[in-house]
Order: sequence, then C-alpha cells, then structure tokens
Amino acid sequence: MQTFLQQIINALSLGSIYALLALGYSMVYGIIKLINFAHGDIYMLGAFTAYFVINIWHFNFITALLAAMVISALSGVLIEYFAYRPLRKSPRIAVLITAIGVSFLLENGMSYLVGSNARSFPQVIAQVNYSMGGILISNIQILILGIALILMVLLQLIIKKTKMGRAMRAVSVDPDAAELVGINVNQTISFTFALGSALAGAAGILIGMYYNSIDPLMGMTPGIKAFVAAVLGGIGSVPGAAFGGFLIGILETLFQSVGLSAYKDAVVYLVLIIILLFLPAGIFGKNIKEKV
Amino acid sequence: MEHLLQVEHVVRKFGGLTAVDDVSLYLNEHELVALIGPNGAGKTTLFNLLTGMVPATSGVIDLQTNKQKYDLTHKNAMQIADLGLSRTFQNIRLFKNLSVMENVLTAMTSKYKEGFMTAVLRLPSFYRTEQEMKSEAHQLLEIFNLSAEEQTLAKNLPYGIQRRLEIVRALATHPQILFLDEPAAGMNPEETADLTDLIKYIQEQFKITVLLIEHDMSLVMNLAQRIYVLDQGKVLASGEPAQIKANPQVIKAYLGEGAD
Repeated sequence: MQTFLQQIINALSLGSIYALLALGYSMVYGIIKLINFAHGDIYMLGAFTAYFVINIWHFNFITALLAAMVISALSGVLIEYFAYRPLRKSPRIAVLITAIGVSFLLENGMSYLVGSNARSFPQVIAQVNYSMGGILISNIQILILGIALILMVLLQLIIKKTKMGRAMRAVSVDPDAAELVGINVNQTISFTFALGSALAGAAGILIGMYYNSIDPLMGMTPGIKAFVAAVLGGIGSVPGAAFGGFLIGILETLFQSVGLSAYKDAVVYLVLIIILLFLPAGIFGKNIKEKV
Repeated sequence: MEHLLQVEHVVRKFGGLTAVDDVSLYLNEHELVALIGPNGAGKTTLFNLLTGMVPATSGVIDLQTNKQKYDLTHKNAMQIADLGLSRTFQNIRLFKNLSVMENVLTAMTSKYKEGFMTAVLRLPSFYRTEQEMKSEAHQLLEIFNLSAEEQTLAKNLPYGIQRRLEIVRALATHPQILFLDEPAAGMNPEETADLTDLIKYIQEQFKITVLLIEHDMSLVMNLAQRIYVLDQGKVLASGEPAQIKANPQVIKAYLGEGAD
C-alpha cells in the first residue's frame, strides 16, 4: 500500500507535466484541426529559456517560470504565423508535414546553437523531502502539481469567462461563421497558440527541475506521450486532455514500479492503439456521427 | 439616387462552372428584397460573394454608407461584417457548443472593441463593456422570446428556435443589411406565418435592409417590395411581386416548358 501511494505521488507529478502538454495539443487541434508535432519542442524551448535566465541573470523560480512561458508563447505564435498560416487553406496533410518539419528545425537548430549534450538544470529551488507515513514527497513534486493545477484552472477561466475564450470556442465550431459575425479569426488562432505554448513552456521548466537534466531532444518522447494523452482524453476536449495526461502519467509510473521500466514507453503506445481501435473519440470526446 | 448596395456585373466561376454569371442588382435603404430561383441557380453563391466568404471572379460590389463608398469586392468576411453586412445560413450554422447567450455575445465582440491589455488586466472599463454587452444581449433575447433559453446550449434547442437564434446572432452584429438564406426552410405553415411577421418586425424596428432567399412563395409575396429571379446564374427578371408573378419567363423557369 505504501509503495502504491508513493508511486501515485510520483505519477501525479509526471502526469501534471503530460497534462500541461496535452492541453496545448488539444487546444490547437480544436481550433485548426492540426496535430502540432512541434509542440514538444516548444516545451524544450521553455526549459532552455528557464535554464539561461536562471544561470545568466539569476532569475528566481517565479520570474523564470514567467520568462519560459512568455518565450514559449512567442515562439508558438511565430511558428503559427510563418509556418502554418500560409497553409491555412491547404490540405491538412501539408500542414501536418510542415509541423514535423518545424519540429526537426527546432530540435536540430537548438542542437546547433547550444550543443546536443544534456545539461544539468540549475537548482532554482533547493529540494526538500517530506516524509509522511513512509511516503516521500519532495517540495518540487508539490510545486509541479500545484503550478499545473493553478494553470489549468486559469486556462478554464480564460476559455469559459473571457471574450477571447468565447471567440476560441466559436472559431473551433465554425471559423467561417465566426468571421461573418466579425471575429478576428487569425488573432484568435494566434491567441490559442500563445496559450497552449505558454503551458508547454511551464511544463518545460517544471520537468527541468524534476529531472535536473535538459537537452535539445527532450521534447520528442514527452511530446508524443502528451499527444497520446490528448487522444486518450478526446482530442479537442480541454478537461479530456488534463485527464488523459494524468492517466498516462499513472500508467507509466505503475509499469515502472512493477519492474517493467523497459516497457513503459511501449505501454503508452499500446494505449494509443487500443484507444484508436475501441474508442476513437477518446474518453471525453464527442462521438461525431457523419450525416449523409 | 445612390443605392445602399450596388452589385455590378459580378461573376463567380468554380472551375468550368459559372455559378454566378454577370449579375447586377441593387438594394436601397430600408428595403425588403427577395431573391428567388430554382435550386442551383446561384443564390447562395451570390450571398457568399456579398458577405466575402468567396471572392468574385470579376465584377464590383459597392457599399454606400455614412456618406462614404466602400468597395467590398476585395474585402474579407470580417471586414465586411464590420461594415454592417450580416447573414444567416441555409443549413443552420450556430456555435453549437456555446449557450444561447454566448452565441449572441460572440457576435457583439467586434462592436465592443477594447484593447487586449484592458481585458487581460481586467481594468474597470473591461467590466463596463462586458456589462453593456450583456445587457444589450438580454434585451435582444427578450425581444425574440429567447430569455428563458439564455443558458441552453444552442445544439439543444428545437429546430425552429435555432433558426430564430441565428437571426438574433446576425442582428447582434448591428447590421445595416441582413441576408437571410431560406429562413423558412423546414418550417410548417404556422411557423412560416410567425416568421413572416418576425422579418417584417425586424426590418421596421431595426431600420435595416433585408435581402432574403426563399422558396416559400407565400412568404416572398407577402413581404418583398421587390424581387430578383435568378436562373442558371443570371438575373432572369426583377420587379415588384405582381410583375414577377405575371412574368412568363419566370413561370417557365419554375414550372418548366408547357405548364401553361
């Protein structure tokens, strides 16, 4: 029981990271129906931004978090503007391949600029472990879960309560109709990219603190896992993405804890296959029946 | 006299098909005009051209408003919406997952512009505009008997009410010209009669110009001050309802050869 609870604690930390990433996937998919494969690399940019501002300018945790979010948001907006927007009316496959290209560009561009070696992430907050009835919780884990939950609540407020959030939901239902009632569709899409990328940037700094190691390719696997999480929750659904993220985190950690670490990635992809076979719309997804 | 909207020699081709073929028409202020014609005549394509959803292959669309002339031919849908042209769709296109209230508020967004920072920092003026928007939306919904459904998601409304909400959403953009694409489609005679009164009411109370596509002749003949008949992309005839009813070409296009 003790080990189980311990693993759940670990799973929740990892799950929050996946959830933050999955939210960006899901929002971007919801609004322009694009699987943004460069999303995992935005998370890497966030981690590197934090690394540099902490090492060079000695930012504290909160300012580094904000810097990572702002730089990631800007990168997301720029990528959408230069890479995806010109292809808005092209077949979806063209945009998808562009996204893969952007992903390679970011990974290799960063390898070129900063070198491909892993770097140890500065300890911006000293780790403290608390023991409660034999269960070990670190302050970093609490921080990760806390920040993730706060960001998710903020996101939900923005989507449900603000004009921009209303516009995002309207554009995701029917972009043409939204434009016809005077909504600036381009601006709304930029805003969605900014929001999703800011969350990825936050995930980047949090994972840096958790694993103490960052490198230019760090976004690949978590990016794909977050994509699986988004599909699992029902792509396009915001609560679904959060839920899917936690579920994948739990699954992965549990497999690791029973001594199957070597298969922990494989099991996530197995989940993707099962979901696509039996529940293609995901857990929270809308089951869209094609009307003929 | 200058017309409010002047369409001149507009053509729209899709590959080899000429959907709208050299159409010229005009709308005056506070007019209620109908656009009729058999299926596939190019009526909806013409609406798409007028609202900027598809660009014209050639021709000119001019809007004369506030003592200024605007060329709509090269403007996008959002700019055209900002200039006061609004529409509904043949197949209802509401924001299905948004509530009735949110559908209306969304359409008001561009009329209540404010800086991004104002919204982010939630300055007092943000709350003020938000309040103004909401109270205007309440009023609109009240006029159209939708107050009870404010929080209902649009997709859960009955068909007839969805149609009404789509009209309300179009009105929320403060249009000068309202384009209605088959507003009575799928309605029974009683509902159609209600709709006829509603359109009349809108045109008078909101002091706007209405151009409507409709197959229901009782509605068209009751409402329209002028009628354009479109057939195979061309304007076949235009004039007052009585003239149109008596036009042999129109009868032929609608009923086919030898119907008389």
